[in-house]
Amino acid sequence: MGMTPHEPPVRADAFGRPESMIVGRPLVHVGGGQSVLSYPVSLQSDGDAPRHWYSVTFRVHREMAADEVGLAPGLAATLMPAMATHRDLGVAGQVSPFLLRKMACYQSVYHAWNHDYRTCRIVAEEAPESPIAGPRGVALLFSGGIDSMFALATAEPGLTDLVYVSGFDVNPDHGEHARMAVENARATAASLGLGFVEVETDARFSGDRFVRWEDYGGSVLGAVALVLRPLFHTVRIAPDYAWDDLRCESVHPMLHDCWRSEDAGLSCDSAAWNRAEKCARLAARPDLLRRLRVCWEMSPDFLNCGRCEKCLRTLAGLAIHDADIPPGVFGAIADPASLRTLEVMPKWIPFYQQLLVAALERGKTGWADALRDCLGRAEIREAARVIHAARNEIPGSTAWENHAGHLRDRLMDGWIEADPAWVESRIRRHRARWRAVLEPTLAARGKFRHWRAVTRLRFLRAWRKWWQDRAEAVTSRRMP
Amino acid sequence: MAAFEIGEIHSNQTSEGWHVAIPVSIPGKSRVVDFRFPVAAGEPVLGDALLCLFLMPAMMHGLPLRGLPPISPRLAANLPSIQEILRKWFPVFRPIAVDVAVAPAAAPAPGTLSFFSAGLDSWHTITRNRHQLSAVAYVHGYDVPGTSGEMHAAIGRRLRSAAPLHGVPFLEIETNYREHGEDFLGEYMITHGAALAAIGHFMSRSCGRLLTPSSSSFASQTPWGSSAVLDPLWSGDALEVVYEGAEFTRAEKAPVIASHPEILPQLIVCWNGYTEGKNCGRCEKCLRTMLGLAIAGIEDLSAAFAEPLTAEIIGGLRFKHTYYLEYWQNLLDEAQSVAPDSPWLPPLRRVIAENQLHFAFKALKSTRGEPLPPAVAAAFQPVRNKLWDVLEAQSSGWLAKRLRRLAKTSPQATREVLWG
Repeated sequence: MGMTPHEPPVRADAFGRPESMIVGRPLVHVGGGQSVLSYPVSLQSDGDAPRHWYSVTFRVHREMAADEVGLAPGLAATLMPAMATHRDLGVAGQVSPFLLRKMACYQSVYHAWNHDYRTCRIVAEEAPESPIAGPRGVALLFSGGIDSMFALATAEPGLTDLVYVSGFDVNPDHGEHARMAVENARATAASLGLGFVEVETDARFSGDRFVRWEDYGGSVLGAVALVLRPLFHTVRIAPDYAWDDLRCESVHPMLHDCWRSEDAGLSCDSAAWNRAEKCARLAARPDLLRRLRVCWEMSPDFLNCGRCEKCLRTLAGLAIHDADIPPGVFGAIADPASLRTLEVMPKWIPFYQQLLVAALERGKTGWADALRDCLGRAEIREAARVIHAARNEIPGSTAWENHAGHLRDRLMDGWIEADPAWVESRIRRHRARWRAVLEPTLAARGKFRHWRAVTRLRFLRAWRKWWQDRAEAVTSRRMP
Repeated sequence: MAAFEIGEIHSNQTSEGWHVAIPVSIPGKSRVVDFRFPVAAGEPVLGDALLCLFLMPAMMHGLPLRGLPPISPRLAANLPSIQEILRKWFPVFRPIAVDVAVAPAAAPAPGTLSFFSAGLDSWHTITRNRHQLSAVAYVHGYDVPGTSGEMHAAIGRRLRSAAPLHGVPFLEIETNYREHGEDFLGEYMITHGAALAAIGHFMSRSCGRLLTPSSSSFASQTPWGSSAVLDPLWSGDALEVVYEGAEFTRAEKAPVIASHPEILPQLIVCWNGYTEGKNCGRCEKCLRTMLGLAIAGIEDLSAAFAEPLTAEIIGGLRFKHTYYLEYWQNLLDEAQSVAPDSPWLPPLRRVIAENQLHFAFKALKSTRGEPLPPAVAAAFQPVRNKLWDVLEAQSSGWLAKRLRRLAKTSPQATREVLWG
């Protein structure tokens, strides 16, 4: 009886015994200005001792009472791998009952989003966390991008620190890029008189084997917030998407309080602003724009390449709001022409729609036209993708019959303009049939008896010219 | 200054139950919104309920909301988030000031309330939570405007006859809420989640939890009046609002009927179910419910549906909105998961593909002229052979006409291609 949504069976070992993941007590080292917590993750079959599998490590570049952290971060960082590999999860110690209840909610939401993730049973001893002595601050997870920069621009008084997490977006193996990203975040904090904490983690490296980063990132950020419990009672995170553009991804306002224990954890900022509105706010903050980093292609001269899709959309957002972008931030200038040829993934279409609305509101016709072109192409590609996926249904489809009349001339014009050779090849395919159809027309023109006398080259030239004229006619219709 | 003003509220007990009359006004218009509760519902609690009822109308008119009794701290704390979400989801709403005092937090009562319309969602919620429910309610005047007439009598009869099946006390509430028009109180499609939460708050003296049967799963991110994002935010300190069953899609809820066959004759998914005794079996909602039940293994659906399910009927279905594709895709996922040999899989695939094509062609049609030709080559590269074949097969007359035009304009080139 289906009283629970379909759950994949529990993963079994080679002998058919159910296998669990066990999060062990962390190995803690504090000294040299750093606090390191390494959570061992083991596999355990029924009746066997745990076998070490891998570890998740968090290196906080500040000394803190790491013994106070407990097992919550290890549990948070292991939940999605356990759900993805269909194993139950055991914890070798006590965990906050508050956090466990929240994790149950998180699992039911995530399982509903994607049934490949199994709702796992968490076996843990429940005990409220002991209170932390001394004052603690409020931090903001800061990557330097539009979202976290906007969160910084709109932060309420009380924010004490910025936290930069290494090992997420910039590959730590790209040493120079990673260093520049950290230094950029550190300089931002310093310029605003805020403290700065860097946290390094290998969670993405270990988690990429099991789970998509979009599904894992939120829980790892939750783990980071729980690791920082001795320093901060709240670690804020800026949502990527606004309420009207929510995605089933791990950083989601509905899941924002799932990574909290009784007295610490993650807290999501308001999702009231979309990316275009964030650009509008930042356009008036040149001090923050100086540190904006949205791109992974940094160079010693520029923080952002200015050419990739993400850079172009950010540049467009800022240019629409007349931002005075400081030199050294982008490696290229904002230009509507660059958007006209841009390929936009379906996932990012809402961002461009938001930009179009902003451009129209502000009377930026150049940007609005470029964005319309860009979105028009993206919509055509998306429609083509759907048609391709359902192509076997087209013959005999009433949907095709209902719309073909409006589309076939436009499709044919497009093909003739873009690829006349392909059109020729399709006509040649049923040469005999088309000969029979066209012979009377050609004979009626009275030129049929003479055609063999004309050289092959002339025919070809005339043929090409017709296609070119046709293409020009179409083009001139498009751009009067 | 203009405001959405709540006047002096009259709440009195009669022999039939409790009557609450709430005068509300905006400049140039004033109305009285009535609610009638049975005796078992207890004396209505006003503060949080009135905020749920009138926040959206006030936002729609862009007027500050005044005259509210004190509300609970939890709901007051949720107000900014509620306004943000509403503003983002539905552009008709504008952020407003809410002039209200905050009352001390009240402890929730032990009871649990849910709603009952005899639809799939409410049966699913009741079946899962039968032992903790203290009452289920139907509000005359919400789904169908008005409180009298043949339709209301039919609904009451059907629901009262189904009520003994779940063994939970069934309450009927009446309101003239929707009679005041959507231009005054907002579109019910948007306001219904808050309106249902208001009923829970009115009854919070006896019920501390309200289970609103979910109409979509957590995976659905479509803005809707009752949703997993919005519903819990209507909670106060004395009432927790739970969007119940959102871990299930509608397709996954169907097996509950298979395991409780006695429910099937009492299942109502379309208006015919109330007025004619059986669901029509031909509307989109009926067909998707029937298919879900068939996939769950129920072969004979005649107890609930007037017409049988056939592949032809499914194949001819056209959705009004892309929103419906999600429901049907869920059905397909469910069928592939629990019944991979089901005879309903081919028509299900066909109707989804056909409707996807319809929306894709429609989208293509709506891209006016300009961007299509240069984008066609790249976008349609994988599918253009197929489209050409279809054009040759189905529109050979049109193609011949195009080629004749070509032959007239450039006969030599045509000959070269066809005879060269």
